[in-house]
Amino acid sequence: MQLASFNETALRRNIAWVQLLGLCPLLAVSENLIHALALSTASAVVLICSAVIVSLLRTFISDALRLPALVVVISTFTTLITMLIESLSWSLYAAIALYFQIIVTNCMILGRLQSVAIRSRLAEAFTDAVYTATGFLFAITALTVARVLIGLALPLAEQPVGAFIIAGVLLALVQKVFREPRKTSEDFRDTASQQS
Amino acid sequence: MKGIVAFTLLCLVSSGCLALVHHFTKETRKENREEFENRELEGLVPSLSNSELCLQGLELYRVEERGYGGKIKLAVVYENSTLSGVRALSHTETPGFADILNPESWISNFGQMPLDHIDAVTRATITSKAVIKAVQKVNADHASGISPCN
Repeated sequence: MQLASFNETALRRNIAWVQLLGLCPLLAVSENLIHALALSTASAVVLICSAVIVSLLRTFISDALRLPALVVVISTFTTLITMLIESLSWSLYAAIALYFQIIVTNCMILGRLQSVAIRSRLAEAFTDAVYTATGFLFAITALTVARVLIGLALPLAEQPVGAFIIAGVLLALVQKVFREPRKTSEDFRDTASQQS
Repeated sequence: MKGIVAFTLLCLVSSGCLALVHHFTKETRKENREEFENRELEGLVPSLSNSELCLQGLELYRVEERGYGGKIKLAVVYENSTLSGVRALSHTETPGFADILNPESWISNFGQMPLDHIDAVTRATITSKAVIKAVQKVNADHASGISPCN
């Protein structure tokens, strides 16, 4: 499989702002930069480790058991990292334990494993996971910084409602910047006339 | 067939890893949890030892009740045989809905007004009913003479 570049994976096709995956934790923990960084690091570790394992095991995973196998891998790493955080930093765990636990249902991870890791060689699967995780980190940091800064003047931004509104605005901005211009009917007519 | 064998092996290896990490982090996780719970208790009682508390006329009950997202652990304190306060020690309720368990919020009603005047909270019905049920259970124990001081 052709490996997409960093720009392509982390920015132009950003997992959150362009592909709209993994939005649940994104909205949930973006009220505080430490929580946001902790969660995106934990998600990154789970994604990268799972991608490596899935890529190594890809010839052994049969089609019929693909989904159960991927879920076993993801949930193992999620539980491992939850236990590690629980033993390393209780205050962090107490604050956002639930969001660590639901990394397992983060569609960013399953999506990436299904679309890339399971049909790529180790190096490619690893690189793609790193790029994707970085993109997620960018997305969550951008939302958190926006929420905290706007929250200084407008407390609404720190509320869940504010998260949705700011996420919507960021989404629109990113789509505006990175989306290729939509083809108009004129363009189609041009290509059609060139072909004929 | 090959797929089934591989999948079984994968499950075995992953449960092995989980068991290993669980085993090695068990102690620290338990200590962390207890330290956290004790810190929560500090606002409620002057000491953590039952014998010292009993000398001051305080009875500290610990009780667990099933909430919305799992067990809610509570500390219930009686001062001179009247309910004086309830604190949530640990829980896994959904963030936001669990705000009623913060020391300064709804849960501070316990001890400040009679138990049967405390209503469940709309939007956190299951959580608040669980707390009320747990406190009623302790209250029944307390009334029938079961005390940590005996």
